Amino acid sequence: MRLMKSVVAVLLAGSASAGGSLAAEFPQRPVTIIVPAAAGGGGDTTTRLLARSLEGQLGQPITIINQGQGGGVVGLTSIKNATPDGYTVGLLFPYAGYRFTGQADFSASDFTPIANFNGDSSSIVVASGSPFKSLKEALDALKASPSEYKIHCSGGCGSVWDVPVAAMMLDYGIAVDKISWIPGQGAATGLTELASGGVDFQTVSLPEASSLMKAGVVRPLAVLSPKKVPGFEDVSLAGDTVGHPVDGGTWRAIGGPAGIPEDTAATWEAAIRAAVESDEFQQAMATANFGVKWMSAEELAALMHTHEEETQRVMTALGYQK
Amino acid sequence: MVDPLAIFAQLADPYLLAVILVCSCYGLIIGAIPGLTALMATALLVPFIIFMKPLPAVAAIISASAMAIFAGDIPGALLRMPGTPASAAYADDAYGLTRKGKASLGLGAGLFASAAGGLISATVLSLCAPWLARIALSFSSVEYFWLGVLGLSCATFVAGPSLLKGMASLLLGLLLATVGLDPVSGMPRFTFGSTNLMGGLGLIPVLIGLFAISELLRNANVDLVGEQKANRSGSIFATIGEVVPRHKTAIFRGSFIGTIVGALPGAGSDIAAWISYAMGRRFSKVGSADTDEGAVERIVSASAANNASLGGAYIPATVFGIPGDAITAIVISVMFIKGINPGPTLFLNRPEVIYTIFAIFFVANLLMIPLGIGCIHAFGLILRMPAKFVSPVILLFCVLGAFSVENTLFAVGLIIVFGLLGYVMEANSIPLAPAILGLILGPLLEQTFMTTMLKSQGDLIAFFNRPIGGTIGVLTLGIWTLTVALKAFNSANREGELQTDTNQV
Repeated sequence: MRLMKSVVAVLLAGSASAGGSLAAEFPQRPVTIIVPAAAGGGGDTTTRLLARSLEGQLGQPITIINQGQGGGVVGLTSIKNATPDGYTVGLLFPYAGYRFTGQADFSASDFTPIANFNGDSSSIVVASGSPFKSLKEALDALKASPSEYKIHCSGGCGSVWDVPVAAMMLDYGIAVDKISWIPGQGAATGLTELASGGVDFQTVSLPEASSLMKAGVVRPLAVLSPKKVPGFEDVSLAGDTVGHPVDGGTWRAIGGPAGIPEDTAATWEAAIRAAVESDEFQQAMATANFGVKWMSAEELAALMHTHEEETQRVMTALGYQK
Repeated sequence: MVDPLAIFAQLADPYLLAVILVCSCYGLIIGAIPGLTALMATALLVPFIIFMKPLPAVAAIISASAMAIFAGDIPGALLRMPGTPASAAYADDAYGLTRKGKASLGLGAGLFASAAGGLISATVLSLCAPWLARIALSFSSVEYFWLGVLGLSCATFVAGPSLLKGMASLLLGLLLATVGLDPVSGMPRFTFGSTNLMGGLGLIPVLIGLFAISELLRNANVDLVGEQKANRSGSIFATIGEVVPRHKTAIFRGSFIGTIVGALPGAGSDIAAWISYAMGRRFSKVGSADTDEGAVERIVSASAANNASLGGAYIPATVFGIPGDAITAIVISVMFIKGINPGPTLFLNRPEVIYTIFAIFFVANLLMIPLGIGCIHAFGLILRMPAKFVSPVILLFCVLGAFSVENTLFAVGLIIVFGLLGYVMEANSIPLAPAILGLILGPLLEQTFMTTMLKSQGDLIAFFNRPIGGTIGVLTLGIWTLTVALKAFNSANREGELQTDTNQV
């Protein structure tokens, strides 16, 4: 047992040696970023790319800890419960849906928002053999007989990709609670369902579907972005169909537990800003097909509040009670 | 196709070859440590390969993961602690051979079958990747559900002497698989309010607990060294000469099953190994016997399958950018970062890159034979050391393995709980393998069943009205009916015989 404890102690040394004087110059030792997703996914990849540029800015090594269990709940809980000294922060992403499925109850007050660095718009894709040629045709059909159609959410439903789409449909007068929303284990499971004819539509990010789009297996109807997405200029904007700009999708930000000292949070924010603006990060994100989206701590806090309100509205319409 | 000379020119890069060699050794070490998986080996490589050029980066992953899957057999055979979940199917068979002093037979057969599986799947990959990827894409939740049921039927073949105890173990595995978030609605189940249980019981900590920790507990009572004295590792090369001609059908069948299962997104090397193992047990005269020869047949078909599935996973990954398993999910993100965007355009615009990647499979799998033999010998030395030195080191690695996979102390607690459970189960001769099978297949079954029901709004016809799904479904039900009917027929016959010739017994 003692042996085991000492091993664990060594492993945790990076984060456990808290205490001592509050440093005038943060950080004085390695910092930890908790990623509430498994290694290899979008959340993990973007954070690792950011961390690579951040290490130079902070002057300290960064340890990335993946905790993908429970669809992100475990990792987010670790971030929320971390010591608010700035040495442990984590990746934040749309989290409000967990409340409605009863998995966890996170809110903006649980975290110290630091900065947003990545954003990708949600889109609606169909199989190439689908009868729908435009978003308008699809929305009208869904309005006429919502119960006939199946939409794949990519990940869990009530989450990143489907909530903005459902919100748009709600505004269009579609009875979203009549549609069959099919949850899955990520974009890949949804894309195979779509290609094999298991579902009619899928809500997904464009980069994740791009290989199959090029192969002519799936086809985008529209993207929920206020302006054309670089690399996908020929995909029409959802706003052009519904008559007002539509903006929805994922956001990925760095945040810590609530109560990080202001100057420490400011150091983080400045470092992330410099990292995001660096050519190295911009290039890496572009080749990996991820959208760079900078938001300050203040903007991020506002985003988190709108995210919670929007999720509340959609989830209530979908029939989830809370 | 492209000019083979261009591929050779790419391969001849000494830096590339050095990367393959180093990562192969690294993969062997990781795979040989119980609890550290091929996925782990790949994930740990990412921070290093991010600085490499595209080809060496992908080569690093290919060689490390192929070696890790094979190396998982070594502790499985020598210590009955499968190094990776993919080796769990035949750990008992291989360990049985070791106890009879035939470790080199089991391991040699596994090594050659692994390499052969890898080579065969690489050949398939090079010849018909785009075509196979189309087939993989025609699988919806219905097809996966039937595949899962087919996999579950394997439990009846790995249950051991008592079918009842085997089923109890399988159901325990399925029950444990329900802990955590419901895969469809996301509702927490059996979590007792604990955030740690929210993620379910991790397969790796449970596997380490059931197999490795329980074995350590048992060894604390029995003198490991005394038992292993009879063991002398013979020449592995000699084994290969014997094994190959005799089991070539099993190798081909395993490689074929592995490649197909690997190509399906959502079914990985562990499922491939189980299905192939059960096929070997059921549909081969040699494999169904409880002799050494039968054990070798089963080891060969499952080892070929788990290595072949690695290559299979690259089929949808390279053609459509859809990961066939968690390892290729990492490969895809690395490829994106390196600017080689997987997809059909890659085959059209940069065929030399894609075919060089396939060629690396051949190199890595050939290299597996000499490196694997070295690794088996090195590991064999451990058996000659007294248990009091070996056991603490293994325990240390078990703890490290569990912690590093989940990054929580909770996982370390899990291995202790499941270690005790495994010890109690074994002491009452309840087999462990079906429980692991249940734990692996439970989530797949539940997820695909629920998804299908959601899509059809409760109509069970949905399970039969798709051509491929319906066929697999009818086939599966047919196998079950046939098995039950044969069992009933046999026992009726035997009873008849017993009644007539009781005096001959």
